[in-house]
Amino acid sequence: MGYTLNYSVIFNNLGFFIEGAIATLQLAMTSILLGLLLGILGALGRTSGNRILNSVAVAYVEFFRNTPFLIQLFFFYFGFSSVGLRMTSWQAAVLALAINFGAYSTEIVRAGIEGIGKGQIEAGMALGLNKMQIFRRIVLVPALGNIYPSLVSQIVIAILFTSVVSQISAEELTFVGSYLQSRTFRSFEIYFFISLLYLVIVWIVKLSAYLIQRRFFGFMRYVR
Amino acid sequence: MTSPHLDPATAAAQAVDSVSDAIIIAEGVEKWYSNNFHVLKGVDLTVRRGEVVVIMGPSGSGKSTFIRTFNALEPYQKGRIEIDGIVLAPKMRNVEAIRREVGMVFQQFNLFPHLTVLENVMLAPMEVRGWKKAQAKDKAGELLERVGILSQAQKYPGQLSGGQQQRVAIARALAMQPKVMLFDEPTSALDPEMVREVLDVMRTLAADGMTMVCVTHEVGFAREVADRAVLMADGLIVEEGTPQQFFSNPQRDRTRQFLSQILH
Repeated sequence: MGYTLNYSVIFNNLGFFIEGAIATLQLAMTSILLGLLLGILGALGRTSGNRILNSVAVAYVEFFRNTPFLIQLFFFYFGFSSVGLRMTSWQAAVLALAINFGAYSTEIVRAGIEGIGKGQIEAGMALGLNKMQIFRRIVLVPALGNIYPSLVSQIVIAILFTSVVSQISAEELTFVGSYLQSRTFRSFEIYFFISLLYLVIVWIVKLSAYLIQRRFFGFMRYVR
Repeated sequence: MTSPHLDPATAAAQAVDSVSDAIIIAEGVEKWYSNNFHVLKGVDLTVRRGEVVVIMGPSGSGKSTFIRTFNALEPYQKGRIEIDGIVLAPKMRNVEAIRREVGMVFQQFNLFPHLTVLENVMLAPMEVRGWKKAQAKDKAGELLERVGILSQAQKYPGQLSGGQQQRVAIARALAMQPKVMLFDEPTSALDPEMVREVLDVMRTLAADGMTMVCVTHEVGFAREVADRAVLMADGLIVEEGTPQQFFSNPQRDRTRQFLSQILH
């Protein structure tokens, strides 16, 4: 093999890589938070007992879990712009990632809500709380506690999914890598280093997830 | 209820008195479950302010279902229920308004696992009555002291014994300052050594004049605290009377049979 490793491309462009990593982290956090909100709304629809809301939520989940993410992304970016709804690649990326994550988290959060005992809801009703108060104050936190590990796995998958948005030139970590690769042809060094950066990003998120768990779901330790 | 030596006018006045004094009036309450099982077959019960009524009966007799109609946790199809002058109509709009006047304690406690003991008691006054945090906290502290559990205020329910959890559940219901307290087999899920601490709290509550309807098989509690004992079987009230009459001289075979089964 006549290939000599040369990591100068990394050192010379370190700032560029870091910027890309930060962009990826921002993209992931924004779309995951928005997606989780969608997921909670979707799960509310799935468990509301209202036939229309349930059907809307089912259709949403079915569509976005059973079509390729890349196509969803192209649809939001190219498809929408061709009918006059022009978005920046960053906006389209956030939208597509959030909607995709929302579909997956709908089913996860729904499972958490369904794990809440009827007695909890009756206790809230007996105290005079209305439906929305019962959901917000009694159901939501234990429901998220129930499914927290699955949700964190899905979040990790969503972070790794962000690399796909380089396909519409959203400027995140993979885009930075591909750009430098096309100019220097140092594929091995660049993609190896980028992998490490993704690993660090996932670790940061997992550490945050652990701290959030300790802060908000510590009670789960005492739940039988 | 009319004594024979009262003249009719006085008796009538008393009857009117007892009606205006009633806080729960249930008349001919009937309920079918969705599988068409006829669980309540026309139940009448009037509870006066400050009265303690104990409802007993075999499992499946509809006693829990019956008291759960008082705060609209169970809808009913026929008859009429009036709580503190408000008729509980099927599909009523502002059912929360009645629920906040009627406290309920469940067999399985149903404390909120993600809130501390203190927060469990503070939640409803803040959400439903719109109390400020400080006010809710003061009231919760006072109630937790009253049920003897203030020292555990910062723990989660899962860290407490069953008896302690049930006492917190009583405090949580009392925080709404209800006019009536419903107890649905409050000691049935407890280990034997924890029954007493819960009954003691209920005794104090009765002594303070709270109106209470208790589904329970605690005969000692019923004899000592109740003003009236009621036997339900097969969706009907079979017998009711003072605990003295009910336990020592029951009139119905069904009551005698039931009592012989629980007073082994």
